[in-house]
Amino acid sequence: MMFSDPPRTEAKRYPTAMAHFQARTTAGPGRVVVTLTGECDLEGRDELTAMLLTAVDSAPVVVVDLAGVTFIDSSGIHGLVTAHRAAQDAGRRLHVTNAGGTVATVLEITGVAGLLGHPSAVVPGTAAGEDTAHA
Amino acid sequence: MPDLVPSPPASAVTGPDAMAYDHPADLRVVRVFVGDRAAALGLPEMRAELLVLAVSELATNTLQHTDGGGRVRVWAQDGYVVCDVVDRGPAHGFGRQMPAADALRGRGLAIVERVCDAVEAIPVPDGTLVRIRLRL
Repeated sequence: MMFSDPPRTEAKRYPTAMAHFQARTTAGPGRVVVTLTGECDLEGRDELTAMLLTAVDSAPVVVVDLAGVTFIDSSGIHGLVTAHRAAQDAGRRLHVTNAGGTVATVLEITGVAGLLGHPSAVVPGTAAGEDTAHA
Repeated sequence: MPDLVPSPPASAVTGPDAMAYDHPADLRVVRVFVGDRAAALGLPEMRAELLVLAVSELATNTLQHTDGGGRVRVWAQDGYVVCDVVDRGPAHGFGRQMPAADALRGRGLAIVERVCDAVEAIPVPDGTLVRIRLRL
């Protein structure tokens, strides 16, 4: 179920005046990688959710790279699960990858690591930025 | 078990071991405050992060489910770092299971129970005090 994806890689920055996280969405063939940095809490929850839903609309597979996330709680999980459910309803997929420290702990104890964990431990290119454009 | 509700020390209201919050932008300030206090009291970094997570969940709960803010205080007692979160909400329903992984809501207090060594909800005049502990 491939869609006609843009042949080039695009990067978009979502500046967040209120929230203390940033998201960069990088589009590639058949998928987008959303690279989050900062803190995902109530303050940025609606913004995070809207951004992830936009990503789900844009590609059949969304990979959310959490390597740069320093804090996440139930509010951030709410955004991820909301986007996951939207993806599922549309026959699409959303994965998370590269969570570390207490962020990984939160994903584990909520079961979200099992729900959204990427089939491979590390998505090639996401951590090293090989296929991401720099904003 | 230590006594349930000792009289708050005077410093709990305005002193350096307490702070108030009433807006989502305060949450990260609360986290820095609790993290700094936990470190000063000797809680190892990874456990301090769990305390910070729990307090952030409780303060988020205040902001989502009550019409006001709340107050946090942190101290050490009997080998624990103890943290009180007081707000004007009704008694919390602790003892709950973690919701299903794909559930939209209901994780906040379940996370608090999972990461803390002890959790108590104590009715106080005009609200509820939640006291959480992590072993030093």
